[in-house]
Amino acid sequence: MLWDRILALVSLILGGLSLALSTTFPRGQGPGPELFPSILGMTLVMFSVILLLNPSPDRHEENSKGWLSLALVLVFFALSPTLVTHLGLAVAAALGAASVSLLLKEPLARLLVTSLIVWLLGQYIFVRWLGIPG
Amino acid sequence: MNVMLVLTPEVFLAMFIAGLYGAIFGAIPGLTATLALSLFIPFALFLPPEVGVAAIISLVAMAIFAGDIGSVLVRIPGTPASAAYTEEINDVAKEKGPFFALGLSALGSALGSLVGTGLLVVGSLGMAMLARQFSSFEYFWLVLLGVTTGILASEPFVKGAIAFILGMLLATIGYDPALGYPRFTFGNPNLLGGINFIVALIGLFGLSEVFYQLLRAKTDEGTTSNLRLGLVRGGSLRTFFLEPLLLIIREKALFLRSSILGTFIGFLPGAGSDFAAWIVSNFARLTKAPKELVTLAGTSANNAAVAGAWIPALSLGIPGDTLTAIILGLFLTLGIHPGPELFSKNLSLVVEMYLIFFISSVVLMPIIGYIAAKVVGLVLKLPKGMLLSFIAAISLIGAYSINNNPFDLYLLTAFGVLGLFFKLGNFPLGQTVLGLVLGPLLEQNLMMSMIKTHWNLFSLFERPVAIFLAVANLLLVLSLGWWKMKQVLKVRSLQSRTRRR
Repeated sequence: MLWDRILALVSLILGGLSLALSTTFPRGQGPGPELFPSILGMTLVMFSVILLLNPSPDRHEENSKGWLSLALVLVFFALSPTLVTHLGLAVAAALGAASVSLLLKEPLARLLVTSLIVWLLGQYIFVRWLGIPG
Repeated sequence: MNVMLVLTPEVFLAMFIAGLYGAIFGAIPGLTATLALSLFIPFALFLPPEVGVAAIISLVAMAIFAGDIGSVLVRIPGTPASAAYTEEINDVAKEKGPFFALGLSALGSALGSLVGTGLLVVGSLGMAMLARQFSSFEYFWLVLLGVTTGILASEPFVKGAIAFILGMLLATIGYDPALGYPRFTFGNPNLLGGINFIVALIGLFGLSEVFYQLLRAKTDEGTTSNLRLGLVRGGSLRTFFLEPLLLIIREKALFLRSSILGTFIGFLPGAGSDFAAWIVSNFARLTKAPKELVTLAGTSANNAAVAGAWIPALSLGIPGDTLTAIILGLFLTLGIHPGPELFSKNLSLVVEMYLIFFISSVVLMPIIGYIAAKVVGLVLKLPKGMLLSFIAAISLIGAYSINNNPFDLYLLTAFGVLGLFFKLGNFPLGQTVLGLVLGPLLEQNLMMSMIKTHWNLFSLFERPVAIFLAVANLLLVLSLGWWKMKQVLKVRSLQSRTRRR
């Protein structure tokens, strides 16, 4: 129920925002760029209200430790553009794999093997072979 | 036209490796064909088109088949397409051995896919010829048909509709197709070209899975350790190939009916292989068919539906399901434009696709099926934590590699979070992907039609095929609405009866 309400509220805000912003778009001789977003915004608002009034029971289980792990991995991904720019694609990806392994409490050996494979994949296949700058 | 191109060692190798990769993802519960395909797209972008397409067709076909492996071993379907007959195939495995059950699944899938391929050739050529007469008016109604079925057929309905509309709304970011005005970019030049479909896909399916598993904080103690208990040991070629084949020959009418119906359901926009498997296996149950026949009906239908979904995708450029929506996104990125023009300008690629479907049905599915049945235990021993770390890293590499733009990594994270929330709220993620693909097509064809006729809305009803498609839309909305209403009334009457008792 909680997730349904949260998601209904988020889509209600997004639908409302799309409706409001589409009024600022320029108009041609007939309807223009505002037509489609405003129709979608309106429909989204309608369905969000329906869901908000009739939420279904939650099925998923989470735990508080999981939220902390999720927050940490989100911080990593939020920093990933900077990491890719400064450390390179292969190293950033290897760090990503290592952080997920660490948060999932994988043994150190597995963490190192995973990170090494990812680094090799990133460096030799994507950067060297496919020519991705990084 | 160089049809022999398809028989190169590179193409065969790509099909084999991608097929095995698809089988691994299909077999592990929680990892779907869609996830396998999303993570493979960054690689496919760098392959020659004929090799990439071959790999993708083989990957999807094998992932759908391999969904049965989890059902056979531990009663947990690997993919939603296998969920329709999980109990039956598991019971068949208990009664006649896992090797027979997996053989029935592999051969049923292979032959079902073969029937689907035959219908794909006939259907797509016919549709492409018909579609040459289409203009933006007919395309508008066709895409609308995809949108209405996508919204109305989704379960649960309201959540499916929200996911679908949100996908369409996200696709409006960037320059609009009518005046070229930048919408919802908030002054960010990275958003002017719109949201990259593949980045969105990797975030929605790949990264969100990592986030979701982190939140649950459960890795190895879940599915994989259970699966180790059910390793397939022993089993002969006779049990795997001959006995199921004899059964299929004996029940050829049921098999053909299921495959043809599966292809037709796969052809319908928004339906897909899981829907096909449910309908066809339910038909088999209604006729009180024994468990092995319910399994045969379901497994041949879901693989036939894979080929069926390619008919509108190839001939009209309209996806039949989430998987073909992803593939269409990739095609557009590669500069391949599906639709009638593909048949006139790039017929060799179309013929190659037919041949790949044929090879993957007749050769790969039985062989990889046999190998998968033998080695599935080894594959499933891969710790899930390690697998999730790989998924996180490949998501990051894949999203960055598409445009070499660090900004795409912010989008990746945002879509990962959206996918996580959708998973927590039990929203169908596939609908967002369909919305992302169908939204721009709908707007483009509507705006083109309206600009051509100076906003004369009646012009949408002037051409005969357009009228036919408009009526089809109306009938579809009415029949699906009626069916939904009937379901609601049925549930309510059941609830009131229970209350009275």
